[in-house]
Amino acid sequence: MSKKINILVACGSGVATSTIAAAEIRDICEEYGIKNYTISKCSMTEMPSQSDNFDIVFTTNNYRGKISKPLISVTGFITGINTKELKEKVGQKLVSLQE
Amino acid sequence: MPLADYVKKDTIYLNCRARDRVELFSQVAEDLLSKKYVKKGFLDFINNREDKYPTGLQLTDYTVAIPHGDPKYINKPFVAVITLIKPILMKQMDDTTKNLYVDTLFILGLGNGTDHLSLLQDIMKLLQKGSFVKKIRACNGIDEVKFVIKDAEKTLRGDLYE
Repeated sequence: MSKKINILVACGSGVATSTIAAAEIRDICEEYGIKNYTISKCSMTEMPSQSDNFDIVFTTNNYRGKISKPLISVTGFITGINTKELKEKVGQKLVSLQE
Repeated sequence: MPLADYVKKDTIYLNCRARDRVELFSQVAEDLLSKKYVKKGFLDFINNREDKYPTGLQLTDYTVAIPHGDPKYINKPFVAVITLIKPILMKQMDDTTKNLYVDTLFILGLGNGTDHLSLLQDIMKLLQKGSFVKKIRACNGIDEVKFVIKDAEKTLRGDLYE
C-alpha cells in the first residue's frame, strides 16, 4: 500500500475556486493511479496553521509567506491557461509524495 | 440549477460607470442589498476579500474578475453580471503585485451548499472560452444576456455529450 497523501487546497474564502481546484486534483489522482489520499479545503487565512497537518498544499491565490510543506499555485485550473503543464506538474509531485 | 437561473434579470448590470473598484462595489452591493439578495456586511466583506485575495483573472483574450461573497451574507443565491464602459484597476488572483484592467465582472453570490461545484466549473469553462466574454460584452439588453448565457450553457452541455 502506498503512503497516504493528505492534500490541502486553499483559496481566499475556502469556498469557490478551491472547490474547482480540488475537483481537478481529484481527477489528476485518478489519472495517475493515486488512490490513497484525502483532500481538504480551507481559506488562505487558515492555510498556514492548517498546513502542518497535510503533506502538500495547493492554492489559487499567491502566498508570499513560508510554510514547511510543498506548495503549488494552481490558478491555472481557474483560468484554463497552461492547464496541461500544470496537471503534469501536480501529478508528478503527488506521485513523488507516495513514495 | 444552471448558471442562467442564477443570473437574475435584476442582477445584470450593463455598461456601468465607475471610477474604481470601490465605487463599483458599493454601487452594486447597495443595489443587491435593496433587492434583498445580500445582507448588510456583504460590501465590507467583498472589499476586504478583494484587498487580501484578489479575484482578477487574466484569461487568454480577456480580463475578468469573479468577486465572491461569504455565504453568510447571502439571502438569495445569485450571480451578478457586470460590464463596464471603462475598465477599472484590479489585482490578479495568482499574483497580487500585478495590476489588471477589468471591464467584465461576475459576482458570485452563492449560499451554503455543496452543489456549487458544477455551477463554478461551468462558469469557469464559459469564461475560459473568450467568445463567451466577448458575447456578453456585446449585449445591449438584459434579455440578450440571458439568451447568451442559456445558449452558451447549451453548447457546453453539447460539448460534454459529444
